[in-house]
Amino acid sequence: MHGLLRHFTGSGPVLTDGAWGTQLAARGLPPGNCPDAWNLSRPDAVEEVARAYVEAGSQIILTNTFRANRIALAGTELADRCAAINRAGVEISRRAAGGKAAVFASMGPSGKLLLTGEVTFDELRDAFQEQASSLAAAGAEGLVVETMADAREARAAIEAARTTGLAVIGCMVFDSGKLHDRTLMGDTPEVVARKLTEAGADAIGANCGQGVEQYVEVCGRLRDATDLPIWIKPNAGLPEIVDGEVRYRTTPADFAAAAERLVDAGANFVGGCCGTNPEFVAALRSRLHARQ
Amino acid sequence: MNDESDLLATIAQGVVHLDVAVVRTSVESAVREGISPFRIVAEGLSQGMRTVGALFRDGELFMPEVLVACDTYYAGLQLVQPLIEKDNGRIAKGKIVLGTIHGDIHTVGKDVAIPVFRAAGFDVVDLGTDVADEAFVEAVRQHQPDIVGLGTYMTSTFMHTNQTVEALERAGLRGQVKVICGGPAVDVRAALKLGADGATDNAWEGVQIMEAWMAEVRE
Ligand code: B12
Ligand SMILES: [Zn+2]
Repeated sequence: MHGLLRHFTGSGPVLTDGAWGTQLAARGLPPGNCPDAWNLSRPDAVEEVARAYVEAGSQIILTNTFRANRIALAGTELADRCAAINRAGVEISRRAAGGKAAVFASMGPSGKLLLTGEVTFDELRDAFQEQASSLAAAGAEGLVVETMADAREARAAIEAARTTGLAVIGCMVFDSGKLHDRTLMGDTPEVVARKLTEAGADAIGANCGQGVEQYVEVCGRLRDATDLPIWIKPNAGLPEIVDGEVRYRTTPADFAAAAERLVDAGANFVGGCCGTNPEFVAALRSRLHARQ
Repeated sequence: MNDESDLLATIAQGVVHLDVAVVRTSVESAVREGISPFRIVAEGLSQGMRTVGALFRDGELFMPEVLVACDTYYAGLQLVQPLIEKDNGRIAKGKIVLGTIHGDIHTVGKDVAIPVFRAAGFDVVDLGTDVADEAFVEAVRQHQPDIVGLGTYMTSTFMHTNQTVEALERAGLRGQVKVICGGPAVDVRAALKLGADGATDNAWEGVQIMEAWMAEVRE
C-alpha cells in the first residue's frame, strides 16, 4: 500500500470533504459557469469553501481543479490557463488546510467520449499528464481521479497521475443498469476493481451519481474484489427541483447514519459529492467519532 | 400495406439489434417499395432509437450499445437523406433552432432528437453544444425560427434556461418564438417558471408539443 494511505487508514475510517461546485454556486457562481475559473478570479471564495471543510473535520480536502484539464477547457477562455488554475487550486487548498488536513488534488473527466472517437487515449493521457504534473509541482499530496464514467479514461488519468509518485485514488460513477450497480459503459464493481488496479491506482472507489444508501452494496462488492483501500463519496441523493430551486433531499443526519453502513461495508475513506456541504462532513465526523 | 409496416418494423428492429446490414437492406427495400423517406425515418429508424432510449433508461442497455445504435440509425438515415433533400415540394412544418445550453456538453440526446424532428417535417438548424445565450440570440435573428430548442441535460444547466430566455427578451425576439427544453432532468412546471413554453424528456413527445404549437400559429 502507498505509504501515505497506510498512514491514514491505520487508525480507522478517514474523513474526506464534500461538494465544491454547489458551495461555490451558493457564493454566487452562476449556473453553467466553470467553477475552476474562480481559483484565479475569486480565490477568496474558493478558500472559504476549503476552510469550511477543514473546520468541519475533513482530514483530507480536495482542490477546485475538477475540470482543469486541457481537453475539458478547450474552446473556453480558460484553455491556455490550465497550469495556472491547477497551481492556484492546490495553493488555495493548502492555505486553507494550514497543516490540519492533507490536500489531495481533484482530476475529473475530459467530457469527451473515447467510444465515439471524439478523443483518443493518447490525447487524454497527455492532457492528464500535464494536469497531474502541475498539481504535483504545486504541492498536492495525493491525486484523486474522480467521477469517471469510462474505465479507459480513468486508466489514462491514473497512468498519468502515477508518474508523479503521489498516492493515486481512482473512482468511478456507478449509476447505470437496472440495479444502478454499473458504470455508464456497463462495468460492474468487480470489473472496475480489476481495471483500476491494473491501471495502477493505490486506492479505488466510487463517487457521484447516487445517494449513500445505494453505494453500500457497490462498496461491499469493491471490498470483496480488492485489497486496496476504498474511497467513497456519494451524493446527497439526486437533485430535484422544488419551487424553482435545485434541492437534494438527504439531510446531513440521514447521510451520516447511512454512511456508517459504508464503513461497515469496507470503506476506508468517506465523504460526500454533489449536494453535500460542510454540515454533512460535521455530521459524519460525530458519527465516526462515536464509533471509536 | 402490411408489407410496408413489416418492412418498417424490420428497420426499427435492425436499429435495436445494432445490425447495420439489416438496416441498410431494409431501408433500401423500403425506398424501392416507394415508402416515403419521412415514414422510413419516422416509423422505422426513429422507432428503433425510441426503443433503444427506453431500454437505456431501464438499465437494460449501456452507453456503448446506445452509441452503436446511433451509428446504425445514422447509417440508415444516410440512405434516405438525399431523398429528403430532393423533396423540394415538401412544406416544412416549422423551423427550429436548437443547441445545447450554456455549460452543458451532453451531445447524444441532441444528436438523437434532431433527426426525429427532421423526420417529423421540421427544419432544424443545429447550433452545437455549450451554446452561449448571445449565440442563440444571433441565430434567432439570422434564421427567424418558429421555435428555439434548448438541450438541457443537467438540473444545473436546465436552471440556466431563464438566462437564455432573458437574452432573447432583451433582444426583443422572445415574442416571435416558442421555447422548448429537452433532456432527462427537465420538469415542465419548472420550465414554465423559467420562461420556457414547454419541456420534455422525450423527442417524440417533443414533436407532439411542437406540432400543436405550429397548429396554433396557423389558426
Ligand atoms: C452520456 C452521459 C454523459 C457523457 C456525455 C457524452 C456526450 N458527448 O454526450 C459524459 C460522461 C461526458 C457526461 C458528463 C457529465 N454528466 Co452526464 N450523463 C450521461 C447520461 C448517462 C446519458 C445521456 C444520454 O446520452 N442519454 C441518451 C439520450 C438519447 O437521452 P436524452 O439525452 O435524454 O435525450 C432524449 C430526450 O431528452 C430528447 N431530447 C434531447 N435533446 C433535446 C432537445 C430538445 C429541444 C427536445 C425537445 C428534446 C430533446 O431526445 C432524446 C430522445 O428522446 C446521463 C444519464 C441519463 N440516464 O440520461 C448523464 C447525466 C445527464 N449526466 C449528469 C452529470 C451530473 C454529468 C457531469 C456533471 C458529471 C461530472 N460530475 O462530471 C458531467 C457534465 C459535463 C457537462 N458540463 O455537461 C447527470 C445530470 C444530473 C442532474 N439531474 O443534474 C445525469 C442525469 C446522470 C445522473 N443521474 O447523475 N455525461
Ligand atoms: Zn458529484
